[in-house]
Amino acid sequence: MRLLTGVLCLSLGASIAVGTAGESKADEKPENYLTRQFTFVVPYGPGGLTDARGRAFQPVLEEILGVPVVVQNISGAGALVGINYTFSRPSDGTHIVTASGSDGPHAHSVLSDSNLAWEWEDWTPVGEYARSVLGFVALRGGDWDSLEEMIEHVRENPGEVTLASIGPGRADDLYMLEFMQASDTLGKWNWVTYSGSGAIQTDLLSGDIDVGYLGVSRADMLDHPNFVVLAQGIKESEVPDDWEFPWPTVEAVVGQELGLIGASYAAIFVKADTDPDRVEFLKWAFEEAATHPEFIRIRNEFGEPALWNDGETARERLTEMHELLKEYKPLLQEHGQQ
Amino acid sequence: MYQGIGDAVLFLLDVSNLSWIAFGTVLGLVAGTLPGVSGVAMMALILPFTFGMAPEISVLMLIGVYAASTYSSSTGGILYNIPGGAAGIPTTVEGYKIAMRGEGGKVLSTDIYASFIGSVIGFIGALILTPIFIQIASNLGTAERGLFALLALVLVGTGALSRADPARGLLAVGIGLVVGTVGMQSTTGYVRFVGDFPQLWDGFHLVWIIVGLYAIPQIFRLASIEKYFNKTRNMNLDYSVWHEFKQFLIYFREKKYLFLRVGVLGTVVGALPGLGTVAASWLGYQEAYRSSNKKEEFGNGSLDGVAGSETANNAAVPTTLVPLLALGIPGSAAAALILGAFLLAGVHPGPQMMDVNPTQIWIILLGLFVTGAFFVIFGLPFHKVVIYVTKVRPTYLIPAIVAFSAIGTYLATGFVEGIYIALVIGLASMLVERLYLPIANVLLGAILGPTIEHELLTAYNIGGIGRFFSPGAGSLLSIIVLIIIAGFYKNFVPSLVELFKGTSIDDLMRSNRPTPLHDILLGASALVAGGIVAWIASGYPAAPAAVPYAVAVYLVLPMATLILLKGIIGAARVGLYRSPSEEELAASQHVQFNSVTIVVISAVCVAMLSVEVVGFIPAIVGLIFIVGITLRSRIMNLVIYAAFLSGALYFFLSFFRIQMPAGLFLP
Repeated sequence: MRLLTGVLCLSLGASIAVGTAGESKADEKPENYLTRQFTFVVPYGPGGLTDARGRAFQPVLEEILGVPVVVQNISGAGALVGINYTFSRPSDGTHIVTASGSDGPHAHSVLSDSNLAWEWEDWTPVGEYARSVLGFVALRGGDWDSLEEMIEHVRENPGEVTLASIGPGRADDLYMLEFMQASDTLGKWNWVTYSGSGAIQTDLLSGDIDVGYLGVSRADMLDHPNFVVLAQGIKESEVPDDWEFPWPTVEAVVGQELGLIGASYAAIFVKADTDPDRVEFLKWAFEEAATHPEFIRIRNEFGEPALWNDGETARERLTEMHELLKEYKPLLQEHGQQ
Repeated sequence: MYQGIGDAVLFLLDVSNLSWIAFGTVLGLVAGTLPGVSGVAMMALILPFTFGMAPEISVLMLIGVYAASTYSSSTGGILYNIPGGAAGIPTTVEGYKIAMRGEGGKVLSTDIYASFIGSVIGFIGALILTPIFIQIASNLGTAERGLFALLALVLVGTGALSRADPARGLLAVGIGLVVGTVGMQSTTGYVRFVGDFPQLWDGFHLVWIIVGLYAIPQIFRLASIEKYFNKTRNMNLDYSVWHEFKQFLIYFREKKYLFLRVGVLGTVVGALPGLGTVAASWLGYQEAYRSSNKKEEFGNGSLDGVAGSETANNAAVPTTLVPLLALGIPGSAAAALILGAFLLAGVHPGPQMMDVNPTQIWIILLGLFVTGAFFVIFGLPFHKVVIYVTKVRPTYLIPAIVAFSAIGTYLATGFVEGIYIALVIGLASMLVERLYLPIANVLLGAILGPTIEHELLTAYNIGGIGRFFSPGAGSLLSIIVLIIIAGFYKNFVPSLVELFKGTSIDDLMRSNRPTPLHDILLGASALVAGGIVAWIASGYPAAPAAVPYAVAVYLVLPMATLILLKGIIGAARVGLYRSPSEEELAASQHVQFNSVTIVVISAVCVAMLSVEVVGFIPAIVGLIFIVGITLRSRIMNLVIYAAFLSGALYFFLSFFRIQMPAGLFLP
């Protein structure tokens, strides 16, 4: 009998212990408020980098959220139309939008010429999930061996060196102005803009431009037969220990810390007046998704490895950039492309 | 140069990849055979659904449609005297008469084997020419690329290599260029014409333009030609494939040099911007006539005529891609659509592709052979079912085309305004096409315009005006000027002389040329539109104003004035307009306005405009009944079709997770 009582007591104790443990694990997962479907707004057309990022989330999010996830492409005006659309939806946490460091709400609220219905404070970053690094690229075997050498030449021979960047209308315009200001070459470059990295590469080959600021965080740029990376736009403080790209940073070249030039992080945004519990659930769900093995596999296959920075880190970084963009905007009006 | 060939072969051996090409081929066979649904219209319809596909697959699928429809455009012509596209006209002239003699099997077999031989010669041509073009293009800078694109537009616009009217051609190019300037200017970010409407800051989306120009007018054209479907006769297509193949081999041995000559001719013509399959078809036909010892058969059912035109136009299909792959410059409407597939997949064709992704180039080049083989494999059994395909009536086709046009335009950008804009573009293009404005030139202008503007302004920013007088750029500029002069001398001056000589208005109508009334209407409306564009652009800063202002003042207004003057001279000499004497011919070219087409046009407009209010599927169901009743279909058939199409659309939208507007009445 004693034995039986002991076994029963042990069983009961074990059940309570297991139940409590289960309860405490369940507490970590905020309550799922989603009952119908969840919309992931990609503010660019189908195909391309941003769309691929959104679509990588879809299967994993469906598993985590337990509802159908629709990736909705709403393109136009460098992501602004998709951001506007997301803002026009109810603040019920059923719509989120993704954007990058160059074209998110933190940037458009400064750069856009139109009267927006929202400000940066009206958005909450859920987290960051991808990083891309741009850099100064020249023709291999060309006139330039280093960015320092090029900067020196530009200082002494204004207008002789043609620099291309992606734009106009993106934060990249201001990145270039910050770089020029820091290197004391403001107004001394022959600065032109192109639609993307591919177009810049074409004209590096044709010899029309001398240097381009384009995407470099790809394995093929390590030993490219035609191009050489002179410097990469990642902050010294953010270079990961296992970073495989050996080029000097732009900060190291200009000899000072830069506010704007740095890696561009893709982030998720939700309206700021969404119920805090729902925002917490989204933060939890996206962290689960971004660290899910399937998501990591898809992103690795795409060539842009997955990462996760939480909402607070993202807010801090983006708010800092928002303030800097405001600071640099007069420079754009003064020195921007005519 | 040959790096990536192995991977390309492996890619093409993959069954799922082959399936997409096969799918495109079947769609092309159907589109080319159905009167009123051209291959380009089918390409326009499926283009938006290539989103998310690997670019190699979407491009090869479109090439499959293009190659198969180029071949099958003559099948409809052989069977019921209405070609599926302009490239099938010479074969229609000869092939229909041969089929009427009871030799349907013979002419259909010659058609398909000649097409295959043409596609193989064209494939070899593309393999040789593309790397050479890429090598040349790698050395071109911004100015040369911009001027090369301009050269393509001038070749297309002036009709210097064909027989088109240069004033109309250049006016259409000008309209396209202006359309291409809408939205954010690429070197300054300045927003033109649509400042308060961020949805248009990126300009008119390629899919809106393509669906508007090609798919929507086809809907109305289908309504116009309903009565001609009744003329489809039940031909005897019960022939032995093996017997006809042996007969063709005998014919081929006898005419092998003709096949080779016209194949090479088509290959070269295809690589030149502005010509393409239609010109190749006629040049092949002319060569067959020139070298034939049975000239009396031409016009009465000549097999040489069929072989000549089909070999040449199919040889032109692969090489149409050469300037596109090497320079990123499409030389025809079909090439522009294929460029669209590249752009939607985020790939910018051009010389850098050989460095960045050589496998992609080789997949496309080697895939050209696969598309050629597929249309023979599918085309032969297709002959047995083609009669059933032609029984699909416009009543059923119209709502389906409207549905997929709406899905495609909505999918492109995600906002419903895209559907409205495509509809407006479609209505406008239908009207200006009636005034004999070449629509393909508008598309090429709209696609190449932003490229030309960006390249030329960047070249100016880099090297000033002197950049345009470097040896390469200077030579291109000189060629452009010479081509404009030649085009006017060859094609515009004779038409004026003809008017002064007092040609009859019936002659103009019989040869399907514009009457003075067409000239006056087109010239006057283009003058007003050009004036408005110039006036608005004059208020912009220098860089964003440069292209729209220059196009309006130096291209649209002079061409509109020339056309108007020609119309006034014509009105004085030969009168304004009379009822068409060859209504049937015109019906295959233009929308005929009568009570039926007006009801169908109105119904399509209401359906597309009400998508947001009543919901997508209810709007299409309503359209089925209005179109069906107007075209006198049985109510029971309409009920069954409405149930089928709405079910199919629901499944399609659910399967691909596409959210179309559900209407205001659903939660």
